[in-house]
Amino acid sequence: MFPHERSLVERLKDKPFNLIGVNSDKEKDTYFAGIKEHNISWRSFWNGPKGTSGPISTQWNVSGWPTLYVVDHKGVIRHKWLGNPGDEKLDEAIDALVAEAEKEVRKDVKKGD
Amino acid sequence: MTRSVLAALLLAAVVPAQAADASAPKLAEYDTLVADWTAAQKANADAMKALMATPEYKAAVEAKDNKKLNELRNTITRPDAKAFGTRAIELADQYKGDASIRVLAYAAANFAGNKDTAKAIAERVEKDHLKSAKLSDLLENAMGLHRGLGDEDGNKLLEAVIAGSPHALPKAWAKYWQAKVLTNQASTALRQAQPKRDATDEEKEKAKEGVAKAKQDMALATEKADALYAEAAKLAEGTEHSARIGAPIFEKQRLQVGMEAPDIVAEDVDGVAFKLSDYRGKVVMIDYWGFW
Repeated sequence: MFPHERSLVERLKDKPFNLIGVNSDKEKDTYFAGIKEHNISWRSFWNGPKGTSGPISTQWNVSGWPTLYVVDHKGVIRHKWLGNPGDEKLDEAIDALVAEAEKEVRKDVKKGD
Repeated sequence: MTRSVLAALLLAAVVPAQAADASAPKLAEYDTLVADWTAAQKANADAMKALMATPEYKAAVEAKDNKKLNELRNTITRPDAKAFGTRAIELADQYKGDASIRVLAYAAANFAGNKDTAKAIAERVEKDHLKSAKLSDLLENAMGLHRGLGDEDGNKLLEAVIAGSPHALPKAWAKYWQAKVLTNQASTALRQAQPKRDATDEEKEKAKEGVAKAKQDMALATEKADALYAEAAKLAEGTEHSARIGAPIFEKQRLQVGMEAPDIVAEDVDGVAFKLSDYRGKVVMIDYWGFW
């Protein structure tokens, strides 16, 4: 999944989009070695030393990895997937929401005039 | 998809390895058991890592040659969980009370995939520990134990806890696992009722009735499970496990498509505090992930 996420982040770098991880490695060293190896640039919360039993994934009732949520620009959950939904589905969902977010921004700019 | 499957495989091995409770009294033989198992797990993980770095393994990954991959993986000897389980049970029989339960809890979390070990744990719980408050430590990781026992005996144990425990938390865990088992069973049945991807039209038509029935059963199981989760959450209120036991209800009430996402306030991996809501105005994909 990393290669596709990397290209997603690269492709949308000037768009209203962020990929935020909740890294659930027990050891931060595992994380630091991994991001170097896989050239990963996005920010991640750390789920703490209990790894997959950490507080964030516990509260969100995460039962499998990866679990993905997509939240729109208003903070509303629009998609959730247990497991990778596939590149195409992911791109389609995110592109549609990014377009929504941009439309909103343009409306605001107009209002500002 | 490979990543999720691999993660699931690794998690099965990694997650249940619980660290010993530092506040509890010292039990030398138990500590040795934990140290030995931890070392065995680590040796296995290291061997797996080394294997994954070999050109032969990488070539098999590249070629998606699953047969070869399995062959290669099978060259690595797994730690003998059955032998460790037997050792843990013997130790639990030497100890008494809370000390005994502590060993059983460790065995339940790490070695209960073995039928005989699971059975030995359940027998001791029902005979000696039903009234113990510490039973919650064992039940916290009861899914492996349930699998080892099978549905019938697993549920018998959970029922015994609900009927016999004078404490809220063990009962909460028992209801929590009952709920989880119900929905797991129903979703497995639903998956099995679905026609295969390459099914003929006739086979698909035939499967329809079974799928409809399985969906109905799933809805019923979900309803029952929700009621159990609610009871469990109430029992666990104010305890250190309230977040985990309450999580299924939290997900249902706060984490559905169309709902405003609850904020996450925590630190990033570099130790800098931030909030999910800092990114309001942008589309955010939240990825629960790890390298494992």
